[in-house]
Amino acid sequence: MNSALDSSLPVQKLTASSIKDFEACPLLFYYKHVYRVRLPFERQMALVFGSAVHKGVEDFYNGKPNTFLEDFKRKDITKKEDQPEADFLQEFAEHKELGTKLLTDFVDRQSWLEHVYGISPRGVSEQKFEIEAKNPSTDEPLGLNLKGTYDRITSTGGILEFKTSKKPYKKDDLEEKPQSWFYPLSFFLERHAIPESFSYIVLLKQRKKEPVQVLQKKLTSDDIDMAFRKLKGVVMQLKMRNWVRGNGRFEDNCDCQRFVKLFGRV
Amino acid sequence: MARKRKNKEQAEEPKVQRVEERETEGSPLSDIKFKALDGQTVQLMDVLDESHIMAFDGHGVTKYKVSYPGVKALARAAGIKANYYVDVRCTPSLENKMTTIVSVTLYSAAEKDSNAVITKLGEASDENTKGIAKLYKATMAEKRAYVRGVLELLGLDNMYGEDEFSGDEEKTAEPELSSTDYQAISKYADAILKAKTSDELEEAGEEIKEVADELNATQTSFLRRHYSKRDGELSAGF
Repeated sequence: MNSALDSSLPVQKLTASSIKDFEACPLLFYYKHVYRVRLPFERQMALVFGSAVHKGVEDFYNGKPNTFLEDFKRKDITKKEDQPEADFLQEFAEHKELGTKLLTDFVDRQSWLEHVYGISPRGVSEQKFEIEAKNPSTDEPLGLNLKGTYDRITSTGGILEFKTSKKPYKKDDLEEKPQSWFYPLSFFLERHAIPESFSYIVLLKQRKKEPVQVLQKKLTSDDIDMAFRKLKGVVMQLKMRNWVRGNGRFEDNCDCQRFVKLFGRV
Repeated sequence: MARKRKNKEQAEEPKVQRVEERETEGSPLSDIKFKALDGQTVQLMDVLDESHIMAFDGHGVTKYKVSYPGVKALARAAGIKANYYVDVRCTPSLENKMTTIVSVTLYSAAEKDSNAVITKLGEASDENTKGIAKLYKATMAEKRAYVRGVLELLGLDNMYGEDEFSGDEEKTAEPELSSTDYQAISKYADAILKAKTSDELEEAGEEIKEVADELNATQTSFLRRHYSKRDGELSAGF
């Protein structure tokens, strides 16, 4: 735990997801992580589907029967308010079929994952962490904590992140998505060891050829250095408290304007 | 953390600053420069000769490996002090696969200029060292950190120390085998990987020969690589 939190920072902890929000739109980050408000409830079909697949993967590794069905059939968050029951059941059946197929494809490819990518089936799932952010070279603290959950740490020290996606991930995602550097840095700070690799395992919903995609990078201490530099860059920008709208490709669909309508301007 | 100050010879002509004008990716060697403290621009190839540097293709971008003597020549020319701090960040243990991690802090001649100080990590483990270097992991880790630090201080983004390449190329080349291609040869891959004796391995090899015409280049390459690796393991065990 961090004994030296910097009160001049707008937040006391960062997660890979909050960094993703900040990079997409500082204003969105402000509402979600500084002002800490939420938008009114909306149906979270994609989110729940993804969680159910995650749970299925975790259960597979733990040798438990698949609980995909039970997790996904949560009407409270997956059923539209005015959706007829029959429609909901039909939609659920389609998702169940897809989810089951994704998990089956994943389970069938264990030998490929192990022998081609060195991804051992042994390891631990859903490892939570919260650690002090500091320079891995000098131990100089940044004044906040890093928090998150590794989807899986393999017995050989690889970090795995599971995703469901319609489209394959791009190679650049291995460098650009915050998880790809945030987790290796956290791992190093927590365990004083360099993770062997970081891998995205993407279960593809609209497969053309390959149903499972693996993007993997082997890690060195240079990657840990680089990750810290990225984190420091985020922290320095946070200190400026410049809560402007993002101007990326998601600008038009960003939730920040809905926050503004509901909670007023910053 | 154990910290020690290393005293080595001082640079002859201290005159460097962190480079602000960086060259674009894929620049020809003759265009690559770095800037000295006195504002003078130094041509990279005025300091290095061809034996110091080798080009390679890094995903479509020309990148360079620089030898250790080449990096030392750059540091000397740039006025990066040979005085540096080494901080041990991680000592070898069975849990961390005998990895040593150190940080090295480098100073340019203008030690008071905070822009000209850099601390870099370097690591060495059983997996990324070869031969006699396995016995001197701390030295290897220090050397890697030093090389990374010098190249970064000079803003030479597409250059890497030669020690960064001990075996990593093979690791990144292998995963081109798709799961569909793998499924088709999993029976043979399993036979190779699970072979406990040379006879079993040879038997697996004979089976593969029979279907060799049906395999594509990636599948053949994968099986050949693993056969050779397993063969080495079994011979070493014997």
